[in-house]
Amino acid sequence: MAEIELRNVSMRFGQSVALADLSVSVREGEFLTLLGPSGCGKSTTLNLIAGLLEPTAGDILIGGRRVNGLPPKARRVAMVFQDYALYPHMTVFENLAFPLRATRTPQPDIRRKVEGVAKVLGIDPLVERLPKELSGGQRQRVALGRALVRDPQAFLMDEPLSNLDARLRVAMRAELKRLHRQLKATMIYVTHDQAEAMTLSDRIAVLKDGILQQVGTPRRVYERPANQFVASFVGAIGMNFVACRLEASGEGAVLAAGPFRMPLSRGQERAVRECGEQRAVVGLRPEHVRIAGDARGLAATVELVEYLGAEVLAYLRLGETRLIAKVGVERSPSPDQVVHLEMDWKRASLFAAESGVLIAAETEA
Amino acid sequence: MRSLERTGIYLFLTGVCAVLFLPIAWVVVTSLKPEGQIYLFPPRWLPSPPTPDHYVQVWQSSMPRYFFNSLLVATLTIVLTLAVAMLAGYAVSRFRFRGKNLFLFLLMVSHMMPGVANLVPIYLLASRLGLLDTYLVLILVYSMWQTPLVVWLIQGFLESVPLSLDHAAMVDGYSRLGALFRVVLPLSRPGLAASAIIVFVYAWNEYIIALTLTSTDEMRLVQVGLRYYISQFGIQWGELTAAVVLSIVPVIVVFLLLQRWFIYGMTSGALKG
Repeated sequence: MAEIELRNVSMRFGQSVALADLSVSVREGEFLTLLGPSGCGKSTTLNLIAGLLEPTAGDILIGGRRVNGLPPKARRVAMVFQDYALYPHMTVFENLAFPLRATRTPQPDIRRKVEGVAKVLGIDPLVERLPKELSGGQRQRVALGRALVRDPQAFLMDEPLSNLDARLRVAMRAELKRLHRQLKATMIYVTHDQAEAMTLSDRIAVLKDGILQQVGTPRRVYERPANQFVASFVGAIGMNFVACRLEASGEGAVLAAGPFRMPLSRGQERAVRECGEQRAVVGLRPEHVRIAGDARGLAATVELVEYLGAEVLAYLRLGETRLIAKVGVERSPSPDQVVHLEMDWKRASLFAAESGVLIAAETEA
Repeated sequence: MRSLERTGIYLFLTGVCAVLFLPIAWVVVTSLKPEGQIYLFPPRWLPSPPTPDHYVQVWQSSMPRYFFNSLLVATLTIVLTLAVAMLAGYAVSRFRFRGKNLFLFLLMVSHMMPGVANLVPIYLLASRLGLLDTYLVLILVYSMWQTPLVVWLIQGFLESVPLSLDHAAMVDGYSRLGALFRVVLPLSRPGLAASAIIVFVYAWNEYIIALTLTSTDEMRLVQVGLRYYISQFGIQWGELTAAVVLSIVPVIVVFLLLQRWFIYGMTSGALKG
C-alpha cells in the first residue's frame, strides 16, 4: 500500500473548472472520503489519480513517485466504479481474473486468488454466472472483488454503494469498513452521502465547485465545520443557521435576531468584532436545540413534527427565525404547541456573515 | 370488418412477395431446364426432367476462378474496411477533438457522391501507380468506398458500450488498445457483423469498378464474368441463370454465418440494473 498526494492539482474541461488547486494527501493505509454534491469534482479527482484524466496543472504522487502522464496500468491502483462496469461477456470468474491476466499471472495462481476473493465476498457459488444473471448486490460484490483480487497500491471507489437499496447499503458499508481494517489498505472513497462518509472514513475531504472546503476527521468536520457549506452538507439534517446582529446587553454582548438571542463569551465576542462586521451567523445542530421541561428559555411555536423512530424532528418558529430541533420521542411536542427552548450554546458555531467562514466554535474535536 | 381488413393486407403482402420472388424462382427453374425447354413458348413452368447440365458447364468454365477472385476481394475488403473503420469509429465515439462533427459530416457527404463520378480519377490514379488489374486496387477502392458508411455504423454501436468499461479495463492493467480488443470489440460484435455483411454484399455485387479496373480473365470477378454469357451471338440463358444462382449462394452463406452474432442486449448486465 502506498500514500497518495495531490499537489496543487487543477482540472479544466474547456472553459469550466472542475478542480481548482487541490492539495491533499492520503496516508498509507488511510481511508479518505471525498464528499460533496454532484459536480463538485470528486469523481474527477478519482479519475485523475487513476490516470483516466490528466490534470491541467499540478502533480499527483503515488508512493512518493510522480505519476503524471503515466497510463492507468502503470499506476497500479484498483478502482470500483459507480455503475460497477462489469464485463458483460465474461463470467464472474473471468471478470475477477481479468486484472490478473493483464499481469500474466500463472493460471493456478489466478484460480487460487479468484476463489479466495469470491469466498471472502460470498460470491463463490456464482463464479460461473454472467453479470446479467446477478442481482444488484451481487454485481456490486463482483465489482469489489475485481479490485480486491489484485495487489494494488491503493483502492479508489467511486460511489460504489449508491445503486444499492438502503438496507443493503448499510450492510455493505459495514463490510467495507471491515475489509479496510483487515487489508490496512489506502482507500479513497467518493460519495455524496454524508452518512457513508461519516461512518467509513478516517478523514473526510469536503469539496464544493472543485474547491476543497475542509479536510479532517469525521468528528472534527461535524463539530468544527470550516464554513457554512460544510456545516449544512455534513450531518443528516444539516445545521440551523440564524443570521444575527451583534448587540450589547446587560451581561455582555449577544447575537440577536428578534427573540433569538445568543449570549457570547469574551472570546466569541472578540472573534465577531475581529471580522469587522456587526453581524454573524449562529450555527446550531438540531440535537443542540432542546425543548425545556419548564417555562424557562426562548418560546417557540411548533410548526411540524416528523417522527423518526427513536427521535422526532420538531420544526420550530421564533418570530422570523426557523429552527429544527431533534428531541427524544418522549419529549415529542405537538404541532401548534408553544414550547420553551434550551440551547447548548457551547456547541454553537459562529460564521462570518459575508463569507460564511467559521470564526468561532467553543468545542475542540 | 377487422378480419376482412387483415385478409386484405395479407393478400397485398403475398402479392408483393410473389412479385419479388418470381424472378428468382424463374432463374432457378431456368437453370435446371434442359437447353430445349428454355426457349419454349408458351413457357413450361417446371423443368422435366431437371438437369444439372448448366451447373456442370459453369463449373468447367472460368467461373470458379471468378468466384475465388470475388471471395478473396470481398473478404479482404471486409478485413481492411473493418480495421480502419473500427479504429476511426472508436476515436469518434471515445475522444473529444476539434472538428469531430465536421469530420463525420464529410464522411457522410463523401459516401453520398455517386461512385461513377470517381471512376475516371480512380482509373488514372491506379494506372499511374501500376495497380491496374490487381486484387489490391479492387480491395483499396472498395474499402475506401465503404469505410465512411461503416465508421458511422460502428460508431453508433460503440456508443452503446459504456465508457466505464474502457476505463475499468484500463485500470485493470490494459492499454487503451488492449481495452478495445478485449472488452469493447467483443461487445460490438453485432455492429461488426452487420458492417461485414454490408461490405460483403457491396463487394460481391459491385460491377462497374471491377469492370473498369481489371481486364484479364484471371482477375475477373463474378459479376463481370456473368456479363460474358451475354454476347453478340445471343444470351446463354442456361449457363447464365446457373451462374446467377451460384452467385447468390455466398451472400446467403455469409448472412447465415454472421447471423448468430446478431445477439441483442450484448451489454446487458454491465452496469447497475
